[in-house]
Amino acid sequence: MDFSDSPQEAAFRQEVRSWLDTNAGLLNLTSESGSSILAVTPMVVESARAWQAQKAANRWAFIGWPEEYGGRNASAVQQLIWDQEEGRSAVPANMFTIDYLAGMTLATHGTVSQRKQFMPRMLDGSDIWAMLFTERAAGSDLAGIRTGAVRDGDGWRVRGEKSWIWCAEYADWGTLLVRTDWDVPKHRGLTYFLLDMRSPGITISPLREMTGSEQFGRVTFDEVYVPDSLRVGEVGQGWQIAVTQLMHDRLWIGSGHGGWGGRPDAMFDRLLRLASSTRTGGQAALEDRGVRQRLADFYVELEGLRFTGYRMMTLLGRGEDPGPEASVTKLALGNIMQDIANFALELLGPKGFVSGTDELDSDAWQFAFLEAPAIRIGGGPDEIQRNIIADRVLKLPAERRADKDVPFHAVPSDIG
Amino acid sequence: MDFAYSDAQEQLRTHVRAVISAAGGIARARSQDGAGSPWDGDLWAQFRQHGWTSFVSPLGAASRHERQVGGYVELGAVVEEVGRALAPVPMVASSLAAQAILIGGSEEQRSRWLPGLSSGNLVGTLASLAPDVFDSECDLPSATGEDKLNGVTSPLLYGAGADIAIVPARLSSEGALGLYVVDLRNQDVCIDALATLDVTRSYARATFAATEAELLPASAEPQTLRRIIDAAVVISSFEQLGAAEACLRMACDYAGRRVAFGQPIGAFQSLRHRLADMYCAIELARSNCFYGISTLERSSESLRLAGAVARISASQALAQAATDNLHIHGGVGYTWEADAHLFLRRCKSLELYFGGSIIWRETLLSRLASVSDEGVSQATSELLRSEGEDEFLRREGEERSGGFLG
Repeated sequence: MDFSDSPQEAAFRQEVRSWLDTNAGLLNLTSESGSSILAVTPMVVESARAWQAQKAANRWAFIGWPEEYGGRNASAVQQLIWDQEEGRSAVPANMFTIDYLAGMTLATHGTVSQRKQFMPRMLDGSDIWAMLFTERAAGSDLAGIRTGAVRDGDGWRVRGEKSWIWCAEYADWGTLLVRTDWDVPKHRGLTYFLLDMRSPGITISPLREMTGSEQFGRVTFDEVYVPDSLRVGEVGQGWQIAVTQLMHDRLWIGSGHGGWGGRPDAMFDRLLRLASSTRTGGQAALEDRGVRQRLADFYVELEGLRFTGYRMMTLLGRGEDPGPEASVTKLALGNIMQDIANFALELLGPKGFVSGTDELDSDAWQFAFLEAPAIRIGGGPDEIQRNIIADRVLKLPAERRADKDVPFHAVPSDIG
Repeated sequence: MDFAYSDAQEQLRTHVRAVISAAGGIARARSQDGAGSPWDGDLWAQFRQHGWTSFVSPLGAASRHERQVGGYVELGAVVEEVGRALAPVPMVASSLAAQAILIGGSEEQRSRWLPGLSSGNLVGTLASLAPDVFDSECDLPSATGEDKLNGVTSPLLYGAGADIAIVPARLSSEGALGLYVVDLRNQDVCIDALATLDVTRSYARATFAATEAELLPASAEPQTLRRIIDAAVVISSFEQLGAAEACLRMACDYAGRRVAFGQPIGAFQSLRHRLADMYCAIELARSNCFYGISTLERSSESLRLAGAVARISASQALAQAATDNLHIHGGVGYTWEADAHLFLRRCKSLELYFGGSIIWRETLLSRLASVSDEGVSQATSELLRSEGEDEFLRREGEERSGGFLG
C-alpha cells in the first residue's frame, strides 16, 4: 500500500513537467490574492486563450479527449497528473473546463458535423463555453428547470432565465438544457441544445456573489432562436445528455480540481501559524488547550481528505468509478473549510471582522469565510451528496418524491 | 498510486470474514459473556490453522533488517475482521505484544518470543498504555534492579490466558520508564479478572511480587517507547474501523427492514442522512488508517503523526457509528438481546485502552507544533525530511508551501 507514482506514471509526470517547465513560464500571470478561484478579468481571459492555444499546438490540451479530436485518450490518472502539474504553475487552467465537458458530451452524443464544427475551436481556445443548466426555479432539483423551448419552423424559441452561470459574460457558446414537454414527468421533458451566446434576445447580467465579486452571471432568454441542427440527441433525451456532462464534471471536481480549495491541506499550516501569532486568555492561542484540541481535529480531518483523494486515484487507476468517494470528499471538504474559516476569525478576535488592514492575513481569512458557503452549495449541496451516498453506496430504501411520475405542469413551483 | 487493499489482501479479508461468520459471528462473541475461558479456543485454533497468527509479527521472527517491509497491511486486514465480528480471539493482543518486542526488544528477545507468537503457540498481550505514561503521577509497577517487578499492572487484554505480557514499569533509579516482558505463567504472578464495560472480552490485572521480568532495552528510550505506542494504536485503529463498519451495516440493514409510519424507516431523510454521515466518517478514518499502516509497512518516521491521526479518526468514527447504530435501533437497541450495545461497549474499551482522544489530540498537536515558535509549520518539513526517499511526499510539500490562500 503506497501512494507513489508507478514507473509509468512517474515517466508521464516527468514528460508533463518538462513541457510545462519550458512553456508555462512564457505566461506571466498572478491570481487575485485570497481567492481559490481565479478571478475572471478580460486580461485573464486573454491569457487563458493564449495558454489553451499553446497547449493545443503541442497536443497537451484536453488530453482526456479521444485522439481523433485532438486529445490523447489519457487515462483518468494521467489526466490527474497533468492537472496536478499544471496546477503548480500560475496558469489560468480552469477557464476551459466547460469546453472540456461539452466536448466529452459531444464525443458521445453529438453528430459528426457538430463535433467537426465545435470541438477544434474548444480545443484551441477559440471559443469559451458556459454551462447553461441551473436556474433559480430548480437549484439542486436540476430536472425541475422551467426555462422552455417551443418549436418555430426548423428551429426553436427559448424563453426563461438561467442563473449562477460561471463566466457567462465571456462565453461564446453554451450548453443549454430546456424543457420542451410539460406534459410528461420532469426528467422526460428536457432537451439539450448548443447555443450561440450572441443570439438576439439574450441578456447577460452579472450576478453579484456574497463575497462581493462577480464571477457568475444571470442569462435571460427572450424568444431566442436556436436552429434544430444545434440540438444534441433526441427531443426529450436532454436529461441523459446533461447527466453525461455532469458525470464528467463530478469526476473532474471529485478528483481534486474544479477550483474549490484546490489544496485544503495547506490551510492547516496557515492556521497553525495564525494560532501562534494570536493570543487568548493571556497566552498564545497555540498554548490554549481548547484551541489545541480543535486544531488537532482539523488536522485529522484534512489528512483524511488528503488520503481519501489518494484512494480515489487508486480506483481511477484500476479503472473503477470513484463516484461515491467523490461525494464523501465534497461533503467533508465543504464543512471543514467552513469550520476552519470560522475558527480562524475567532482566533483573530476583534481583528477578525475589520477588513482592509490585512493584519495576520485577516482579509484572506475573511474571504475564505465568505466563500465557504459556496463550497457546500455548488455542485450539489450537502443534502444531495448525502442522498447519493444513501442511494448508491448504502442502498437504503428510496425517499418518497412528490413529483415522481407526475406530469411536470402539475408539479407545484415556488415562483411564477 | 496504489492506496487500497490489493486483490490478495481483499481475498484474505474475505476469507477471515467467512471463517468467523461460519463460526457464528457475533454470537460467538456473545457466548464469551460469563464464559469460563478467556477466548474462543476453537476459533483461535482456526486462526492458527490458516496461518493468520503469523501476521502478528509482520517483519518475521528472524528479521535482522529493520527496514525490511511487508505484512502490516495483511495484519490490518485481519484485525479489521476481528473488529467487525467482535471475534473473541487474542489476535490483536498478540500483535501488540509482538510489535513491542519487535521495536523495543533485543535480537535475542525477538528470536526467543516472536516465533511462538507467530505460530500461535504463545499468546502475548500489551498492558493498557497511553502517551501520558510518562507522567510521573502515572501508577506503574516498579523495577528493582534489572529484572524484578513489583506492583499492579494496568488492564491487560486477555491477561487471563496470555502466556506473556509486555508491561510498562518505572526503572529503579532515575524515574525512567521501560517496557518489560513478563512470563505470566510464573508462580509469583497473581492474575485477577477485571469486570469491564466490554462484556464480550476478557481483561485482567496482574500483581507482581519480585516477579522476574526482562527489560526490552530500546524501550527505555522515550522515543522508542512512543513509537511502540504509536504502532499499537495503528493496529488497534483497524479493529475500530472494522467495528464501525459493522455498526453501519447493522444500522442500514435494520433501517431497510423496520417499517414505521407506513414505510421502511431507512426511507426517511433524517435517517438516510445520518447514515450517510456515518459512512463519511468511516471512509475518512479508513483513509487515515491506511496511511498509518503504510508508515508501519515502510518503517517510516511519519508514524509519529500518522499513528495519532489514525487513532483520533478511528475513535471518532466508531463512537459515531456505535452511538447512532444503537439509536437507529430504537427501543430494540436498548435491549440486552440486540447486538448494538456490544459495539457501544467495545467502542469505549478500544478507545480508552490507549487513552482517550483528549490526550491523543494533545499528543498530535504537540508533535505538530513542537519545533519552536516561528517554526510551527516545520511540522511539515520535518515530516518530509523523514520521508526523504519518497518523491511524492516531497512534491506534496512543495505544493503545500504554495498555499491555498495564496
